[in-house]
Formats: sequence, C-alpha cells, structure tokens
Amino acid sequence: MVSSDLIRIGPRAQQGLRHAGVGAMAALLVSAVVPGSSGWARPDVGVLLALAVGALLAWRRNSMIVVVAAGAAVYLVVTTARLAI
Amino acid sequence: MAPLAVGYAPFGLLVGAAISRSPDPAAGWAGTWTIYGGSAHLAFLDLMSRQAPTALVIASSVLINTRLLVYAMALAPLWAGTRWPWRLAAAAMVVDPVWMLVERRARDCGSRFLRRAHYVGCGVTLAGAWLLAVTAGAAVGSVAAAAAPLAVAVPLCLTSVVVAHLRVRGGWAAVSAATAAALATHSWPSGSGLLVSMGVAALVGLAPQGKGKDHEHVVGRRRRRRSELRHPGPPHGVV
Repeated sequence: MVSSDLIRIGPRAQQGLRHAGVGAMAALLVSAVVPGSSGWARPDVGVLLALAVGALLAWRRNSMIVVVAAGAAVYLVVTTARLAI
Repeated sequence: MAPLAVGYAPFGLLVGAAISRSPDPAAGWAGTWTIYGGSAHLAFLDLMSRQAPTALVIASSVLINTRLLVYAMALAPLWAGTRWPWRLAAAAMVVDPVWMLVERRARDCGSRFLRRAHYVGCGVTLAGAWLLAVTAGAAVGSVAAAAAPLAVAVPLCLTSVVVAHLRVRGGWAAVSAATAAALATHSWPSGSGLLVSMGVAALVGLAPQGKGKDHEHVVGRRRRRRSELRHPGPPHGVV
C-alpha cells in the first residue's frame, strides 16, 4: 500500500483481489460456524438460523445494520426458547 | 463499523483473557498494536506459552496475517497519489473488517476524499474498540464467556459481505469454491486454510463464466426498464 504509486494493478487483477478477499470472508464464516474450528460463534441452531435470515435479508439488498439486527434478534429468540424448553 | 466493533468485542475479550494467562502479560498486551489481528495474536500467545521456538512463533503469525497483503493490494489504488505517511497509516489499519466495509463503500461510489475519510473512520473506530476489548479482557479475564452471544454479529457482518458478492460476475463460483476449500482445510494449521480459500476464490472467480451476465447489471437494467414503464419520459431527441 505504501508503494501504491509504483505498482499498477490492472482491472482483472483488481477483480481477482476482490474475489480473494471475499474468499477469505467466506473462509472466516465457515470457521465461525463449523464445529471443531476456532470459531467465535457457537455452531448451534440459533447461529445457523440467524445466518439464514441474515443471508436472505442481505440478498434482498438490506443494509448491514438491518442484517445484523434481524439476525441477532433471531439468535436471541431461538436461544431464549431453547433455554426455556 | 459499530455493529462490527460490537461483534468483535468478545473476540477481543478472548484475546485479553489469553494475555492475562500468558507468562508476560505486558509483552502479550503490546502485541495488540504490533500484531493487530486476533487470530495471529491468539496463535502467538499460544505458541509462546508452550515455549515454541521463536522462528516458529514468528512464522505462524506472519502466515496467518499474509491475507492482509491481499487486502492491502486491493486497497492500494484508493491511496495512490497521497503522501507516504498517510499511506503508512492506512496500511497499519488494514484488517478484515476494514477491508470489508471499504469494499462495500466502493460500490456506493462517492468521491475519493470521502472514501478515504470513511476508511480512516473505520480504521480508527475498530482500533479503539479492539484495544478497549483486549485491555478489558486482560484486566478481568473470565468475563469473555459471558459476552459470547455478542459474537454472532461477526458472522452476520461476514454474511452481508459474502452475499452481496454473489451479484458480481464470478461471485457465485468464487464464494462456492472458497467455502468448499475452507471446509476441506478447516483442520489445517491456523491461517493456512484461509490462504488456500483466497487463492481458490481468485482463480475460480476469474475463470471464464460462459455467457453469464453480471447480476448487478441485469438487475439494474430490469429496474430501469420497470421505471421507464411506470414513468414514461419524452421520446429520445425531445428536450
């Protein structure tokens, strides 16, 4: 980044870097969900449902705040229901 | 950045708790600035506590943070033409969430100045929140488990970015390949599977996708057509 004036990156390479970056995000997402990895979120039904709702809202072009708020609400509801049972 | 900062707080507390258990907490805490990456910092603390050889500790931390090189290369054009202290400061702030939000912002256009201001705002907010969370975790140690439910915000933010990328040409292929690679390599040493996923995503995403069209463009064209049907404007050439 410091030598950004010296290095020229073509549009195709830029696109490849974007794919690579999102690939890292997908890998981090997998590591947060799949059991046995060093994930931050517990891989339970609540997390999976929250992610499903989040993915649906993200696909419908909702903002990140909406995705996080709705997903967190689903997670809370599911977790509370599971504790109550 | 606020939802991400909240989501990363439990991770910061976790790193802080690991620092409090390390043989030299002051040195461990200093890594918050010098390593500036949760996964690499945790691996560093773990290897140090097991008295692993210094070369191995450094090599694994570098390997885990190699992905930042890709982020920095992708973000470099944004800072081209600025003075080197600015570029140096921007480079020091490159981490996953900052790349994530700056990449999202890039799609909304806006002037280069505003995008840089957004970048700095994201970087400074995250750095402050991260430092606070790690310090709090180091101070109180065991509170990390109580904050675990907040951590669901991180995968939700990641979902938001990954799903948005599906609309880009080659996005489906890149995300599917990266997910498959991550599943296949998730038992590999920390950081190595991530690099494989990045490489696979770049290669598959850039591979020829047949005659498929960029979903973003297709949807945009459909919307324009619908809008034209609802609000027919003057014929072409009529002012």
